[in-house]
Amino acid sequence: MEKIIKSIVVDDEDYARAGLVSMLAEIPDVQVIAECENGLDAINKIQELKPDVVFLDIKMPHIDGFEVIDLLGNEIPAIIFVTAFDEYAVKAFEANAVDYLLKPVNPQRLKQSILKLISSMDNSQPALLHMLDKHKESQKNISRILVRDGQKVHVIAVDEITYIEAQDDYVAIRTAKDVYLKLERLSNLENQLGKKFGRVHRSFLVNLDYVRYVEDQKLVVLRDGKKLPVSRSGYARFFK
Amino acid sequence: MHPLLKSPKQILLLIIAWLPIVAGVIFVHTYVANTTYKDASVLLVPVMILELFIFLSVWFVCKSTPLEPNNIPSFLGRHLVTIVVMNAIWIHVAMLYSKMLNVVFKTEQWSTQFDSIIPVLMVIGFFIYFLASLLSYLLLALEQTRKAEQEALHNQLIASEAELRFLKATIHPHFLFNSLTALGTLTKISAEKAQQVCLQLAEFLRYSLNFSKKELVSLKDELDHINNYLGVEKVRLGKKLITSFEIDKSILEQKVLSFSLQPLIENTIKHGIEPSLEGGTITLIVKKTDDHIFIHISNPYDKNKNQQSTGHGLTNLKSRLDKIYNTDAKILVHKGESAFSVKLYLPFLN
Repeated sequence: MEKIIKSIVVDDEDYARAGLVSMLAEIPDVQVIAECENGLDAINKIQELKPDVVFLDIKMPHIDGFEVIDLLGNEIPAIIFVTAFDEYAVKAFEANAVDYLLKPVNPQRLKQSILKLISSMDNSQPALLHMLDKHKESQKNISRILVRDGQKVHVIAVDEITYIEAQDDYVAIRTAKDVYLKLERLSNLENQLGKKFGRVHRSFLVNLDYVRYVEDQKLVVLRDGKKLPVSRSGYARFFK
Repeated sequence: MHPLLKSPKQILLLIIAWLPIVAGVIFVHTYVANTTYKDASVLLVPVMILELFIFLSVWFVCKSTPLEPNNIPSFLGRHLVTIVVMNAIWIHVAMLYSKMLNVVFKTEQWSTQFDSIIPVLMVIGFFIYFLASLLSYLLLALEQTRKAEQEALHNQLIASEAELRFLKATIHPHFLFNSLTALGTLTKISAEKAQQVCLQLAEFLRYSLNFSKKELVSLKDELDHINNYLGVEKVRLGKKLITSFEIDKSILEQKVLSFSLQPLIENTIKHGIEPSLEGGTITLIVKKTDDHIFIHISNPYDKNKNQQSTGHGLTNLKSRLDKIYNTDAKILVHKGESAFSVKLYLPFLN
């Protein structure tokens, strides 16, 4: 009845990755199906191979561990975080009962994590998502937003965003040239983007630098001529 | 606040110590004025209570008249004036009191008796002033010593706190744990390589832990330290980290501020190599100019991918340099689109 646990190891450092892979090789029923050395690679391999568990390093260049999960959208496998020293992240893991390993990884501890994983295969998800939400809440004045588009990850500089519109479960992030769709709540972004952005309407978060003027207290006109609706409370908060 | 009046217990002690003096004066008075203890007490107890206040006020005079070797004449002059004025006031008030007793008891004996004790009171007044100032200067000296001790302790605390902060900043836990992770894997793959890295890591830690003992080190020591550091980093960063050194060997024995290069090299890793997917080359050039050691450190740098650095490390280094080189050392930072470079000019120290 025991099924093989398919795992992916993600770490930008060769020896750290190799060490974990060789420890996992000692554990029966665990199979490493891929190794990734950066976040983008990890996202693609996870999408493609659908592992049962991902050992995910937090601190990686370009796209870090948290961003990997965020960009995966709705299909997130079980995650075991691996970190050398990150006081904030460890606190978040403990607070949300999310499993993590400290580097250098202790093989005994690794086995325990696998056992825990087998016994709770399906119920670790809510804790993870909750932690990710908390993590996002704690990030203020972010300078970029990552959006996945198939095999690519777009990096959108916050200054280039003109406005963001809520569309069901998604948000449409608009720059002068493009529109990007991201699975995210508008209130999360409002929280992370800081004072340069104003929630002028339930469905619109506007970069205040791009506002040219407000018409009749009901419409905000952007520099490119685009008009967006303004709610009464939105008007009172940002334009009065 | 007067040091003798700090607690009720001290006040009580002061009063108890004062009692024999009062008793002595009363005893002498019975002889000099040929009167009873009762009459002597009625006259002299209030007078001596007044003297107690005068005794206490001497402290404030002493406090505002510091004893310094270069102003002895003014010091003596000031005390002489005070002593005369204070005693004059005291005896005058006491005399008024004796006259009041005359009125109250309708007899002239009080002021007559008082007149006969005046010489004794004057001697006592001078004596008590002398005693009070002696005591005051003693207490002041004690207080000063205690203050100096406290200050020394406080300074020590600040120094050790700074040392701890520096140590923490030098031995980044992130660096240490990641290196140990790589080392752990290396032990299985290549014992020999693992041993070599182990030694480099040990040397790195030893130099870091000794930093506070040696403010100046030879350029060679600092470069060896950097080599150890980069050696360990190369293990974990692998092919991402390439180094290129160009060093003028004739100045290796020159003294430089310890940890003047280390934080800059650390920054190249932290902001240049680690955030990049492909890594890159760190270049270190150490040359001699007419009156400086010239150090040029550069690394690849991606403006878009990099988090804004706080610049705290550079500020810290600058203030350490200023302390040693009297602001003669220069740091020039250049942040380009794709490269970051720091030029450091250190004056020769010998």
